Amino acid sequence: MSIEVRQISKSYGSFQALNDVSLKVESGELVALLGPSGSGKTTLLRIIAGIEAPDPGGKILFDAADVSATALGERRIGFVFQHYALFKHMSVFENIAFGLRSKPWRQRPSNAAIKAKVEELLALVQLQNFARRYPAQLSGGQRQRVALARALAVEPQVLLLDEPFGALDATVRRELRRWLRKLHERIRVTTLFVTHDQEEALEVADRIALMNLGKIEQFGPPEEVYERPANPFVYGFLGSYNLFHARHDGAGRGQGETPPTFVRPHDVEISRDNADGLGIAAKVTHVGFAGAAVNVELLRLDDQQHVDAALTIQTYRDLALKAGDQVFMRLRNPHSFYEDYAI
Amino acid sequence: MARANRVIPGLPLTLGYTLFYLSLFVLLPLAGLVIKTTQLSPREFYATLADPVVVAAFQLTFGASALAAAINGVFGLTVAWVLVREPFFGRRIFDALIDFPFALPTAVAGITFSNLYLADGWIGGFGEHASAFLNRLAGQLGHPNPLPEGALSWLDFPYSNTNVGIVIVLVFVGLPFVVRSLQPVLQDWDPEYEQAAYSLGAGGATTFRRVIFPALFPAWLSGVALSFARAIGEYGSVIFIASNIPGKSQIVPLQIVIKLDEFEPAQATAIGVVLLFFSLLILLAINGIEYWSRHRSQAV
Repeated sequence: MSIEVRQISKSYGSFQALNDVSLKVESGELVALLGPSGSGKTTLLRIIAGIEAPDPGGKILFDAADVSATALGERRIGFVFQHYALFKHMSVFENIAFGLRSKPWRQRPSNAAIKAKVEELLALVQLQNFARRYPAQLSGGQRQRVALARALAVEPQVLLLDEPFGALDATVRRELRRWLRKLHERIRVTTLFVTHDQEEALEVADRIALMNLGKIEQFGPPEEVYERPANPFVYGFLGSYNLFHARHDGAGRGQGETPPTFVRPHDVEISRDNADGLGIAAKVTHVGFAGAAVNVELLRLDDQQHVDAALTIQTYRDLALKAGDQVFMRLRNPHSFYEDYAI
Repeated sequence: MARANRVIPGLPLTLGYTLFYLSLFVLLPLAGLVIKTTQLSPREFYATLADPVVVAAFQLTFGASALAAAINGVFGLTVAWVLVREPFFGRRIFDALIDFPFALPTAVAGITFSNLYLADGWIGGFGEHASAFLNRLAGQLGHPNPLPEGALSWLDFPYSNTNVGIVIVLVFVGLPFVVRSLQPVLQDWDPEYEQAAYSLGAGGATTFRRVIFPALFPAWLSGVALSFARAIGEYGSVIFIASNIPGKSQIVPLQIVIKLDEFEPAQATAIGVVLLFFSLLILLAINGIEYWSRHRSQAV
């Protein structure tokens, strides 16, 4: 089932949470709504779910059907809340069975069918032995999976996840991310999830909708948004960067009108020699060891600007860098934005 | 563990104080009550309680209290819900008014309610007051007394001079217990639970029955229990509105007063002991249910 958002706006008093947002998610896609806090991503998700109503004028379509006026319970969505909202007084089994037991009695499956369905879902989320436990007895990751199973029990057409990994610690996050990706490959339900973690979005999603200040800045596959960011905001949000103003351009020619150049730290190349004469002389001011990468802080000798570089540990060893060394740097893959480059 | 670090300084002292106070103000008087009762022989004790007037009083007190507690259970929940969840103009004033029955002297409440609901009261005799007013109005317009005597008596509150008045007063005094027990729980209640239930296709009734009410249940039950316990002991307000006819509309506390008036203090304490016993039993049962339901939801 595809989801189409047409010109949705939402304001709370004078605060404009969403400003004329349009978005089309294809059937079976896994899409991340990525953005800083306050960018409107959760509001958009809740409007698609029907938990909140948009300002008049916009439309939400599931396939071709307009569901703008359809109540939350009838949109056939599965919603996983950031803090899971598991029913504390019900066992894991009853939590998952809730949606099935709540159906009008004509459509309600028999107890045996409910049991079979719940067991199937428990197997899907790998919690077969936890059916009789209560939410208070589960870890965060387990609760997350129960919440997902509960949402899937009613066979939703659309799965909506609000910061699905937000409340978990780093290791569990990474594990669950991969698991969600695999799960999605298996069940192929159109899925939207909200996150503020760019790494998560890049790794998991088929496409990323990058949001800022109530608008979608760019919508595309992870590679595209990363490699060809539409504007400085997208570039800046997806990773750290160095900013070079034109008059300090690599070539050193003063051109006040040209826009600034963005370069990622891992695109700053460091060498000991300057055979081609294009290297920029710099001094190493600090070397920070960060596991697989080594963060090197440089000071340009020509204009005293600070530059961050990220080296692989191998390069770092080969160069044998230490603070105080004088080196030459080259900038690979520079980005410039010709309009509205203010961040 | 003998000298574990204690958070409260001087715990042995405060503990001793607490126990002393409890003994002085709770255990000692209760023991005295029981001892006083032993002045009666078992047969006298039984005779006191088997008196049909006393039995009727017990039935009335427990029946009316249970009914009032049940009514408060339903409407107290509604009131608490509205006060917490629905913003409306003057909400804070209404919220403050909930405590009114706590603060109002019971005798004042009793007089107020009897003024309203007894046969000649504003509500109890509404038809009569209304027809008198209309007749006077018509008289000034030149058609004296168009309404015969009792023409509007169907507008009278039909239950004046019955025990319904007792229940009304008991509802009044018990309401704040239910509301005040539920409010903190409702304030902590995250609407996401309801949204989750709705998103799974549950309707309002199912959501209330299976998601909201179970979460409120322990607090609700203790509110209802407190309201019930208060109703059993309520004296001041009830005697004004009850017709106090022996065997029909006398509450148990009134029986105790009557026994004392008849210079039968031992009989009075016998009735008191039974009242005490039932109250404790009910509180114990309710605490048990509450413990069980809390334990279930927050298991280990």
